[in-house]
Amino acid sequence: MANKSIITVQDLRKTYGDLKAVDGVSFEVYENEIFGILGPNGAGKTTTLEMIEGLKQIDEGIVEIDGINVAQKPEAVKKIVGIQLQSSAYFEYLNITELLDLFGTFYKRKIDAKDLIDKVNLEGKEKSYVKQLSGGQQQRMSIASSLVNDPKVLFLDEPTTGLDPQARRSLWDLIEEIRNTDKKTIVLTTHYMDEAEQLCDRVAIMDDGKIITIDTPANLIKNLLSKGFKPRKRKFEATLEDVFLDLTGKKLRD
Amino acid sequence: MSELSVFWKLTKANILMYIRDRGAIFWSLFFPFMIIGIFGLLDFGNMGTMNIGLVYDDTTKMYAESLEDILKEDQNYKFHTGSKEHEMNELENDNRITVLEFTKKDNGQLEVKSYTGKQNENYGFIVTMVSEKILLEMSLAQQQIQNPVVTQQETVNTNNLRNIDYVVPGVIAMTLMQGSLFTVIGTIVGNREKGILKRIFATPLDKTTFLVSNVVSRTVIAMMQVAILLIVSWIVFKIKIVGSVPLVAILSILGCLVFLSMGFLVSGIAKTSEAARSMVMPFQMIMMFTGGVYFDRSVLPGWLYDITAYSPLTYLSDSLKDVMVKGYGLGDASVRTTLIALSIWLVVLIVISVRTFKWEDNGK
Repeated sequence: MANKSIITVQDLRKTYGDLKAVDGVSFEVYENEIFGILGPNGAGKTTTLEMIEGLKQIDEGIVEIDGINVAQKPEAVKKIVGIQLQSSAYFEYLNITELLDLFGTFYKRKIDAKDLIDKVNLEGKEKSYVKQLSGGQQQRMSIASSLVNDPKVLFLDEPTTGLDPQARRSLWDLIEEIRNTDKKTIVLTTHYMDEAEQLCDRVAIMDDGKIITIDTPANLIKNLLSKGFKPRKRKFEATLEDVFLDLTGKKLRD
Repeated sequence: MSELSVFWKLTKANILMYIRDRGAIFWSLFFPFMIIGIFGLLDFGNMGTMNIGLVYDDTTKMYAESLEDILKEDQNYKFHTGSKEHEMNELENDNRITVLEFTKKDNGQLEVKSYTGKQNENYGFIVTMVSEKILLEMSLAQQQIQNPVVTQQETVNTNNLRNIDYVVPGVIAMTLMQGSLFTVIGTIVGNREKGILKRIFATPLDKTTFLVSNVVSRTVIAMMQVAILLIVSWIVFKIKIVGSVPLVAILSILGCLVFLSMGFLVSGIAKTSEAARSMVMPFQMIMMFTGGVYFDRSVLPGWLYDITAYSPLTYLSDSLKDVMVKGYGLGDASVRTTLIALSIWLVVLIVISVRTFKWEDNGK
């Protein structure tokens, strides 16, 4: 992968009163990679993401996406990014086809809603309201809505939180497909390590508003082992999740 | 795709969403219809049946019965005959408006005494005068003397207003107020709380387009409500609009805009929709009860009457009544005053809400 950067973040800061929510964060995201921001709750992941997206005022620091300065041209940035918020809510009385059409309209685009619905595996739900969808389906609808403008960069804030194993795996497949087939760059936050390990090309680990380290999951694990870390011996070669998926199948339930 | 077509598509979507929200439609029409229904069925304006007690003996029976014969053609009068004791008892229990006692004096003169409760003094007076006239004519006729005075009553076609005619415009004003206030709170505070606004403004959607579209779709919906109220009132209660329909529409639209901007003001101040509703409730109650929606404002104490004369609901409901019922037009000063006053309200409210308005809740 040619490491051409599409997002550069320099010394980003956000303060609420005495709380330094984001305290001097710098990193780069390369084109067509899946970049993960990891960290415990309250580490500043969402605040960092929302400043990059232009949704939150940047107190200090510079963010550029595809060469556009976010603080200076938030409207131009909005056109080239797709955003999935942590809690995604949509108008109650529009079905998902109408919602996607309307979101297309917000970008002054005429879109093929059916195409997007098929892409996120929601065939048959064209006329459903969001509240009639399961948690996993709502997340996929949310991803569809963030794809209406065919963005260069897709931001996903905790996309799999609260989903069952089948739904999580299906969402991982979808995210990988969007990267591989549609050649998009994806930035996601998560606090599931297995998700980061499986999905992300590189991860940044945040705590207390700071980035502690950035690397590929494999390098991070190698570094830890080279420091003499002895992993807790696994009793078995498989996990309980493997058992669960073996028994209940990988088929989606929603 | 132009900004205008974004506006139209959003407006269409807004109206569609409203039409699909069956609950909202039901409640927005149920309450006004309930009020109109109550006033229409009870018709408080009519004084109702006047129960008249007759007390007479054999010598005066003829007079009493003749009076009854003549008056009972008017269905407002209902006659009861009984002993003096019984009838007076009924009067005390408010079952009679007036009791007429017929006696023959020693000199052969007919004496009619009327008893009336204090609260019905006016009705009692009318009944007494009518009785006296009828009895006098009877006795003149008996003596074959021509009545020197001839009165003749002719019914002239007037607007023939009933209480319900006054209630419908008031209810329309009230519906415009409630609908506008609560829809804005739902669209702004409710959607802000749910995170819907945050999501849609993560797109390049222009905030002005969003606002104008909501104002326009809400106004369209309000006009549909007004039309439904008018049509049903016309079918059920034969309510007619005496004045100009376009003027009714202009007043309704202006009123709608005033209450929408009032809703925007509240939406800027209140953090949650619960808070917004509680904030709005006392004001809309006060405006409703002092705005002449349910009863005539003249019953209010002087100071309250004076203050609430400036309430937008008072202006709106007064002028809707004037236009719909009395046929006032732009030539009438009161209508012009309302148009000016509502415009001032609109400008003031917009100026304040632009300063206090918040798109995002900065709580976190």
